[in-house]
Parts: sequence; C-alpha cells; structure tokens
Amino acid sequence: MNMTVFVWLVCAPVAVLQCVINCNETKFKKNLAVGVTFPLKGRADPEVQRLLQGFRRAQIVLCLGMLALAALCAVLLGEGTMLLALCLWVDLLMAAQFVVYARYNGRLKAVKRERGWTVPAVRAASVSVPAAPVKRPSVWWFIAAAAVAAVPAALDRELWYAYLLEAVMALGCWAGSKYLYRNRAETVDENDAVTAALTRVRRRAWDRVWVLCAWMMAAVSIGIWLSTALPAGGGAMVWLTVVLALAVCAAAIALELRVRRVQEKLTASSGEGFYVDEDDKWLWGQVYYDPDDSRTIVNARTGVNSTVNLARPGGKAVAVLTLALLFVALPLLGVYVDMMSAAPLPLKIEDGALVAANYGTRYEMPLDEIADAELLDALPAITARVWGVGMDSLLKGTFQTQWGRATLCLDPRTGPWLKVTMDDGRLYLLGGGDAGAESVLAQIKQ
Amino acid sequence: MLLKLDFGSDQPIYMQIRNQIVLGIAGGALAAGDRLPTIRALAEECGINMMTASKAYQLLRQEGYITTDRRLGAVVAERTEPAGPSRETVEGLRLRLGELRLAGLDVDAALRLCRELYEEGEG
Repeated sequence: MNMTVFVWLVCAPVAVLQCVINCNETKFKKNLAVGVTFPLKGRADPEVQRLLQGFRRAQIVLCLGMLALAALCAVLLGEGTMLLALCLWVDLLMAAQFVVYARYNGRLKAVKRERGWTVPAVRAASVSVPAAPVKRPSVWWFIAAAAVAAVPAALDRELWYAYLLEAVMALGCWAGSKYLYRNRAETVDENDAVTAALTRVRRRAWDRVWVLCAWMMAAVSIGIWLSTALPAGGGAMVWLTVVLALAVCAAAIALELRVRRVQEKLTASSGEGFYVDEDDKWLWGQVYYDPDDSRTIVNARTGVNSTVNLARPGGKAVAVLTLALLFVALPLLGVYVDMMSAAPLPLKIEDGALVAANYGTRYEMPLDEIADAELLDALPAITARVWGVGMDSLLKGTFQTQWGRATLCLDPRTGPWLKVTMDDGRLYLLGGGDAGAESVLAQIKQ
Repeated sequence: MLLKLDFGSDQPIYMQIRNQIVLGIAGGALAAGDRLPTIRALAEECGINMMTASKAYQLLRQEGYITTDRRLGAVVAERTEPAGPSRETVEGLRLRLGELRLAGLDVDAALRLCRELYEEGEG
C-alpha cells in the first residue's frame, strides 16, 4: 500500500473519534450538555432539544467534511508534503470543532438566560467526600510492566538504553499515579452519595489510565526489540505501532465513554434544588477561567480528563505552550520534513574525510579508516529502521539490512549507491541519484 | 456536607467556611467524631489559599467546634456541657433582632421566624 494513503488511513479516524466524543456531549451528565448547566426541567425543553440535535448534525457534517478532505489529500498529495498537510489538517479539525462547540454553547446559554435558569455562581466543595478511601492499584502492576520493558535490554545490548528508558517511563507512571493524582471530589449537588460515587469512578478511571500507560511502555519496548530481531522487523514494527496505537486509542475512548455513561446514570435525576452551575467560569464552554480559584489544574466538566485554569500563571503557560505546539511547531515540523526530503544528498571529500550530508545531518568517515568502498547498483534488503527517517525519497539513520546493521544516508529511488566499510566493521550506504557516488569512489581509490 | 462559597460576597471566605461548618454541626450534617478534610485537602477542594483554610479551622478550634490532631487531621468535637451562647453570639443576635424590628416585624413575627429557622437548623 502507498505510504501516503496508509498514513492518512491511520490518522483520519481521529475525526470520527472527535465526532463521537462531541456527540456524547449532547447527553445530559452532571446536569451539563455542550458545556451548559441546565436544571432537570430544562432537559426536555423543545428549544434545548432542537439545539442539541443541531449540534449533533453539525458534528457529523464536520466529520464527513474532514474525512473527505483527508481522502483528497491522500490521493492528490505526494509523500513530501504529506506531513505538512497532515499537521494542517489536524489543526483545522481542532479549530473547526472548537468554533462549532462555542457557537452551540453560546446559543444554549442564551436559551438558559431567556428561561430564567441562571443561578447565582457559588463554588461548591464537599467536606465529607475527600476523605473517602479508594483502593489504589498495586505497585506490582507497574513493576511488572517495567520488568517486561527491561527484558529486551538483556537480549539486544546495542539499544539497551532505549529499553531501559521505557522501563523507567513505566515506573514513572507509578509515580504519576501516586503524586499527580487529583484528589478532588466531583460535586454536582447536595447528594453526598452521588458525589462520593462520581469521585470514586473518576479516581479509578485515572488509576486505570496510569496502569494502561505503564503497559504501553512495555509494549513499545518489546516492539523496538522485535523490529530489530525479526527478519521482517520493519514491517512488523509498522504494524505493531499501528495495532498498539489503535489499541491504546480504543482503550482510552472506551474508558472515557464508560465514565461518561456512569456520570449520566448517576446524575439522571439531579438538577432540582441546589446544583452546581459554573457556566460563567467556562469560556465558550471549554476554557476554564476563574481568578478566584487558586487551582491550576482542574477536573474537566465531564469524563475523566483534566484541564487548566487560564487565570493562573501556570495555566497560561500550559495553554501558550500547547497552542504553540499545535499551531506553530506542528506545521513547522511538516515544513522541515518536506524540505529535508527534497534536499540533495551530495557526497564529497573534505579535509581527508568522506562526507555525506543532508539537511542538518552530517556523516564523516575519515579516509584512513575506510577499509573498503564499492559501488552498488542495487540496495540490499532493508528489513527495519532502528532510528532515523524512512521515506520513499530518503533513508537516513540506522537501519537493519540483510548485511547487518548499517548507517544510511541515501535516496533509495535511483542508484548507484556507495557502500563503505570502516576498519571497525561499521557499514555505510550512501548517495543515490545525482549524489556523485562514482566520482567520490574514484577519489577514495586514489 | 457541601460548602457553598460565594466569592462575590463581602463576607470573608474563611468566615463563610466557619459559619457553614457550625451550621452543619448544629443541623446534624456533621456529627461529633466526623473527620473533616485536612487543611491542604480543604484548600485544594475549595480552590482557596491554604492560609484561608487554616484560618477557618483555627477559628473553629478556638470556639471548640473542632479538634485538630497531627495524625487524624480535623475532627468535629464532642459537645460537652452546653456553656450557653458567647457574648459575641448574644451581641450578634441583638443586632439581627434590631434589624428585624426595623424591617417591620413585631415580636410575635420575629419569634415565629426564629422558631422556624431554629427548627430548620435541627434538620
């Protein structure tokens, strides 16, 4: 399958996930729908129902539009511009869904105001629930994941640091579950039993997230090892990555939807008498801004997620960093990869060394350490990428080949290529296209 | 029991916490021996400064409504012999009764209102 089509096929379902999660926002949970708090009687209001239906429709239209755009990109754009187009597509998806959400949130708030359902803003906090004990996951879950992640270090000494890094990250998940754990009650109304149940559900969900992350690290470690150990490791790695990503996405979405379903059931009859209404603190229903709140990290209104208080300096920093990452760094990364794949791969002799360079990467092989050099008309079978860039027009980094592990910096589409063996046995495959492999080989022979 | 904090109110937050816990004890929502959150947990739960939470607990402890323990945290105190209302409480009541008189309530209406509120507080 064409690499571009494959990548789009793997990434485009994000639009569907976004649509599913947003459509779920129209089901009342914790008295909220599309980020607006309603009393119990407001849930059946015809105007509210009409707007919620409109929101669902808008989400489906947005999803189909984004899928159509992804299909166009997959068919029309080449591999060189793929990453840039993908980054821009993700940015467009997020911006569009934000605008649609904000628009319907504003309309629902207007209906709420018209009906006189706005209640005075008070912050409600339970004093009896935070002390309620919750059974925490055993540390052995994390130790076992770390041990599994570390096993390949004994089998593949060359990449031991990568496997140990995964093991350390698995243990980091335990630290996260212990110290980044949000010990806050989920208060909806004056019913302590509901508050306690909602809080327990959320805490348990967070614990599962951390255990899931730890085992994902273990799976990544095993995947790296398989990619280098198996004969067709490269293909195995690609498929393992896809399967792992899909499994993690499926588990995360299932957990999120499950928590939302429980929240929906537990608060089905809430919204009478006193109930928490923080709509004024949530701009466009999505961004928390409360200067009176000393917390930087707060619970998301529904589901299991957390978000930041934009009125706090820490919250502002996180928001700026996230926006910069999504809307500046991501497109710039696309531009960078685009330019890298289009950049030439010249070979030359400089200061007594053979130099292969490509856009920020430079390999130098001292001539007096070269044991052998020869021209290749065909490349050996490349079974796996260990580290580096693997594109149709560029292979750069460390790869597993039929001749063993090699450092590549070449255009695989057209030869001839230069095979360089160093005194210590290191193998380089370089050039391709008009890199000048023949003339460089002549200079090396001289 | 739920604390409802109004950040737009003129009443300081620590006083709002103190008053609601006192009402919770009087109304039976909090019984003697019930554990309250630690100062850190209360501050985290309410989204307030630790100093504010500490001030509320300090006041409650001075007035004998709670006891604090390094290991258990804050606990609702056992009410022993009723000591009668404090001077501040009597002065506060005098002021409120004056306000009721100015609001046009005669003595019967004022006492009826007091009875209703007292019974409401008993849960």
